[in-house]
Amino acid sequence: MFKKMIADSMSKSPWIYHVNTGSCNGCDIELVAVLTPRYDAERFGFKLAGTPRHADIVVVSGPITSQSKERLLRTLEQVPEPRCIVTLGSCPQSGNVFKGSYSVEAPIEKFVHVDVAIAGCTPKPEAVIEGLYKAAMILKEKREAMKK
Amino acid sequence: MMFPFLRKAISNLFSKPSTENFPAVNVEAKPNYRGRIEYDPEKCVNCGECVKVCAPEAITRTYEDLGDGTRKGTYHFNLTSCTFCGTCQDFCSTNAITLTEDYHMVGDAADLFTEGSWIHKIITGKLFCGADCIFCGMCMRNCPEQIINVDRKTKTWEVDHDRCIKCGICQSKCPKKCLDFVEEEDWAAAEKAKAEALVVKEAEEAKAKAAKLAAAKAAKAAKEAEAAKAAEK
Repeated sequence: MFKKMIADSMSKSPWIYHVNTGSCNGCDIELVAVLTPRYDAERFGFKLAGTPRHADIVVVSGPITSQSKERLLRTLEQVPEPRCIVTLGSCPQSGNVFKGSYSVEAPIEKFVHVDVAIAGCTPKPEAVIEGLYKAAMILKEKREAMKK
Repeated sequence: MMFPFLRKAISNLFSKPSTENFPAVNVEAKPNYRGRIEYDPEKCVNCGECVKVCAPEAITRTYEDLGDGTRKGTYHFNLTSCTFCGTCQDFCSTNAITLTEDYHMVGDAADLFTEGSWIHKIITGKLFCGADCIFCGMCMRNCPEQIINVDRKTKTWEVDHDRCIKCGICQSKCPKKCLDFVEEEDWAAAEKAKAEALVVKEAEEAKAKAAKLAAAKAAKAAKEAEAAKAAEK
């Protein structure tokens, strides 16, 4: 009974960890806006976690600069399974306007599998909520799959 | 001093929350929001301006030869690479690209694509204006690249061959159907045929003019004769 309660409450409180890999700050501001009372993602239990070890969902923004690539990978290694990786905006998916730069390691797909991509430059807060909600659903499925 | 704050606090208890009830109630984007790209292949003339102008290289095109003198072209708009600056929309001379107000672009990166295909004739050769031209300027007005120059007074027709995208719009708009794409090796023959046709046309025109003049003269003479008769009376 307790196990079921814990599983239910866990699915309703996915914690977010936000990694900025050289983003222009546009996407970061929108993500923070999502957590403010106007959009209030905490209705769905989304909460910013202080450390990757507490996180369920990792939100990556920015085109992954060469400097931040290693740090991103190190952070992602610390996130316990099951985890869900969400890319915010166009940058992590393709490099956006920084594509082809010597200091940008653009597509994040080279390193990790991305579960949900939120397109836009920057995405609207509503789109961010939609993406996070989708990630939470995927997380729930993953958790159930892990139990079996 | 406490009172105004207390009043506000109590009134807030009965007011609606300022939180948007988003997933339950859909929120429309503001007018002129630049969201998901829509592409109309029917309108596209394949000038390639959007591909050239796109800063993050989100727009690509591929060709597939169908073998019967036509080819299938496909434009791919990668929404996970787009900055939504709207430059492609601004540069599209036929308004085939529009940035809609749909911002729900969430999901697998592989699904975040807008695509459109068309089948056009493969056009080779250079644009050639035949002898039937009446210098109406329809081709000049409809050219998406604005590289055709027609002057009615001096009867000149010019085109910048290097910038021609071979879309064939001028050909379809020409009322006299005198525009044609001529291969390099047939160019001299076409020029010759045009010159000959022009000579014939000029001779015919001169003949017609002479006939018209003669008719006018005869009419004038008849009128004068009538006037003289009237004076005699």
